[in-house]
Amino acid sequence: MKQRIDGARAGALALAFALVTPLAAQPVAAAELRVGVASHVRSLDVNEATGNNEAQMLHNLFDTLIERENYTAPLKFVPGLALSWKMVAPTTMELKLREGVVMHDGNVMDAEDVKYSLERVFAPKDPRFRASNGRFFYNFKSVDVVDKSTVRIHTTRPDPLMQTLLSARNAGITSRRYVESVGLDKAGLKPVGTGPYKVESLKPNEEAVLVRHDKFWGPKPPFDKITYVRIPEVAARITALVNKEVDFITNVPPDQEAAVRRVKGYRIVGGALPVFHVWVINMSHPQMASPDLRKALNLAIDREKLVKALWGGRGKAPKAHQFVEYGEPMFMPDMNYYRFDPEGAKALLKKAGYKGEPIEITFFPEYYLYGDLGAQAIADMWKKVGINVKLQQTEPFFGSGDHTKVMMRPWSNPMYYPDPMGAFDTHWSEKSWVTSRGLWKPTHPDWKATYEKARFATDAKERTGAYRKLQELADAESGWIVLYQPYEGYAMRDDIEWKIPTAQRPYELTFRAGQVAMRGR
Amino acid sequence: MLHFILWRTGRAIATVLLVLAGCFAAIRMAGSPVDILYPDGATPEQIVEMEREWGLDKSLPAQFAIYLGNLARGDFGVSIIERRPVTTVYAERLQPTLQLAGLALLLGTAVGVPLGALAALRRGRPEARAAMGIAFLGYAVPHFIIAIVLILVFGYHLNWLPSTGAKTPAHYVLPAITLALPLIAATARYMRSTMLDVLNQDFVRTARAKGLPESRVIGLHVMRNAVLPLITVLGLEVAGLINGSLIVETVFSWPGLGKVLTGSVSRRDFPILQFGVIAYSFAVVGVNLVVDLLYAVADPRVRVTS
Repeated sequence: MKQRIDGARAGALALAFALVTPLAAQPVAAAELRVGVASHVRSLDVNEATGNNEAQMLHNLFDTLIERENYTAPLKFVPGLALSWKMVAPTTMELKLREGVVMHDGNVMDAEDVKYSLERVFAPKDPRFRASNGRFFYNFKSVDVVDKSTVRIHTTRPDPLMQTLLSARNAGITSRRYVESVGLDKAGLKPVGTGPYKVESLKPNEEAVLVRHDKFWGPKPPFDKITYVRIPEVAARITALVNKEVDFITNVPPDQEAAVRRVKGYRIVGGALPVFHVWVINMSHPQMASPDLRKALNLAIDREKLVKALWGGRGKAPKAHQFVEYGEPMFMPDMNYYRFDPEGAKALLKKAGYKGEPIEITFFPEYYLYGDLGAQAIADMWKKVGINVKLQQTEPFFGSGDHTKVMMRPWSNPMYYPDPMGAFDTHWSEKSWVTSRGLWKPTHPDWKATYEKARFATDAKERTGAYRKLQELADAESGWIVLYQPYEGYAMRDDIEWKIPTAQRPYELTFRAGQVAMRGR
Repeated sequence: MLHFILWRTGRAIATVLLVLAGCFAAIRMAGSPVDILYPDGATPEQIVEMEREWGLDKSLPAQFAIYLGNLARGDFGVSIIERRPVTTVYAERLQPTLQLAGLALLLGTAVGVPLGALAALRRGRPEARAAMGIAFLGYAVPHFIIAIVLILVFGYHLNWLPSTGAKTPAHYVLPAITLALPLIAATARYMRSTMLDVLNQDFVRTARAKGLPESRVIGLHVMRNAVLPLITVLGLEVAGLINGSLIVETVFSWPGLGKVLTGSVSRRDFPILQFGVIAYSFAVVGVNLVVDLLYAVADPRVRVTS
């Protein structure tokens, strides 16, 4: 009898196993790369989409006139859709275009496509291109078509960053005829570029399928197909990887890396991204008017400790508002403004006449990873030097929110291009929303002239010197608090060779020929 | 009966409108979609331009009146974020959600009803206690915990089942079980208690006394009467399935309505969210209406009273 029961049990188990095992995820052919991303895109219009999510895909779909070597600092420019370029006047660059470039819609790219794509962001008629214009192209004026394969690009003022900005992915080239025939909205869902991959399908915020563009002008890309699928939960993302449902995942926090490392056949590529998590101090708030008080807040933060506690030591505690990705001389290793000096903080508080008035930290609980934990840790650090801290949790709000009662609020400062202005200009220029809203209002009489030089001086030495002075002035104002550079971890099959590109903006996933490889293929 | 149907339908529409008005006002107080489209901060001109484009510069009552007018014409609006008609966005995602909820409902009743009946008929015995223990556990543990545990066990450790997406039948297994487990638990608990009630009724004693075989007593008299209150409970649980699917769809990256709705909250996509609220309210109110009507069909006393 016992044997019969055991036999039946074994049979049932075998049946269950037979039913279940064929259902398990099977690895697909290696020519496909399946990427599990934490957040997805709503559209892939290269000239419009300036967000982190789109950056994951646009590099593989669109080319720019001038390209960058992926890992060189300072930037080294190489031909893209333009074979050569030269300045023909202080505000005019002439570019000779590559001929015979077949776009994803089958049309051959010409100067009209270049003019159409770039003028959308140089002089935006549709408001959707304003963000791109404000971040990168506000000094660009127009594009003249000289002939089918020659264009002249005009700027309003001589611009030392012309090559840098024209090699930003948002200066990608799309097909004029295609966009004009289907309209902007449809073109965003099935965009047409000239890059090594083209969009086969896009389900917004869910899945994007890219396939190889067989008529690509450059070297053949390593994959026939790339699928980006949104998997918001980190546990589900890691499971999808080790379960062979995807080959590559983004956004693995330091405290979850062990779950990947303990499974054989996978590895993690990570690093401190060129992004700062920042608190903006509202300089218009009467209680935050004293520069000594603001400086004291800065000095009372132990950034090394924050990086250790929140990011497992894998983030980076900055010493100034600059990233190593700029390369020297624009990156200045000797700058050291963000010191931890609690005694200095106490002295400055005394000098400021601080009498224990409550200072409120507004924070968004989930918008910036570990933003809530960071706020609590900093509140403790400030209490230790005698600051009366209150924490105020809210939903994220930015330029359209009411800031009148806000004393300080979280923000981030990504490096949109590897140059001091790539992280500075969008965030702290006169045109920035924190300036127009009065949160950031530099008072030093030299600020404006110094800023102008740091942005527009055509002499490299003069621009470097101005940027150094700008950092000094910013430190004296102490209108913001740079916290740390967050860590970004990518997990992947260990036969995938890939590293984070340093010459591009953060979050770009670079899957062109020479940028990624699968060993044994 | 007609008066009963009209009264209940009118009340259902009023409920939906009330919920919609509340949601309409609440989401506008939570912040602006401009912040989500331009997280680095929009310029004052951008804010004005966008608010005008989406009618957000008008007063709240004016916005609501325009919205209701559009609704009356069958125009549910265009997604602010995706720039596609709201109905298109939802239509793409309806099928996976209905398939998942249907499967969970099927599993929930197919397993829950016999489990509850077993617990009632074998009351006090170990198998009944075990059944109810499992039911309590299923009821007490939230969806997201069940989901994560299933993913860890069957995906991460055993590699038996996929954990994201809805591409093959295998993809349905874990999310359907996650959604069905609390339903099995609820159904079993209600089934047990109503069966115990019915088992003590006089008509059951009479049925036994007149010599009917036990199987007929249970099948014909006990089960039929015990199932009546269960219809109400299942109606409520269908609403729970829809709510539960919001979390389950996020955890399993299920391409359904739940993901659209949760995404629209975080992205402040007002038209998507408003349509979602209308659709979900209609689903909940509609299910309740159907339950009321079914009740009237199943129990003649309800019709007489109404």
